[in-house]
Amino acid sequence: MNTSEHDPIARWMKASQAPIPITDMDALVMAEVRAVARMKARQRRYLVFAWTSFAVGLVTGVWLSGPQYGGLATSVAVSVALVFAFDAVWRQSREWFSHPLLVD
Amino acid sequence: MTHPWIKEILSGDHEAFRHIVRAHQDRVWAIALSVVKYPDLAQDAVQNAFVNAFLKLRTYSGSVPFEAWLYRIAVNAALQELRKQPPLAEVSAEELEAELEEAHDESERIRIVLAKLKPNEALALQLHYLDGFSIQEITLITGWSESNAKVILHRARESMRKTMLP
Repeated sequence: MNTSEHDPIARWMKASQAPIPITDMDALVMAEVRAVARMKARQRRYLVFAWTSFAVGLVTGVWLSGPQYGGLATSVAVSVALVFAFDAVWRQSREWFSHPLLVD
Repeated sequence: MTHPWIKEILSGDHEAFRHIVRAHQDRVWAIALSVVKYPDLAQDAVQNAFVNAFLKLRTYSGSVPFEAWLYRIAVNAALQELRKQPPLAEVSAEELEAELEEAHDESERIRIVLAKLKPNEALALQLHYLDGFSIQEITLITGWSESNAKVILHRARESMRKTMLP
């Protein structure tokens, strides 16, 4: 480290130091962090519910159509329909109420 | 004393992140300000830096000191903020001279000179002289090569000397 007191640059740099002018910076940052954490938690819940809908759709499709030809296609169609239905309900419920599932 | 907090944050205690913010906000602020020059832009850069650090905390492997990892995020956030702004107009030697003559004391003169330095030069001075980082640590924080870091630091010193000691 060549930042000795005899080095004028070191002295000038020290003299230029000013304290952070925003007193509640940590509160501002934490408000952002909390908002981001809430958003991430919502995304995680959304993915869990979407994949669950897809799996339920797949099982229901197989159960409805049986193992005959076209069964897999029906299953996938039912799964995709269920995911879309889930998505619609998810969005609508966010608009209608502050559902406890959606708010931390 | 940062590492114990990382464990707590990753296990779901988001409020523990406040300890990291409090411990590093002054340095992150100084790094951001040295790059973007304006306090309101520095504030945005600091907020973005901490939010990015929070989001990427799981990827911190411990292979570099936590401070270097965090300050690299701060440098990137400041550079990103800088890119959003229109380029600063070049200041002529006469304009700078006039501004320095109006300064009331030495610390004001220094702040004017630092504000006129190129962002990478001001950042190099900040990291080396105020944060006490070695050239190797500066390369970790900025992503510059070792020779590039030395050149930038040398130019920064020369620019400052030339302006402060006419």
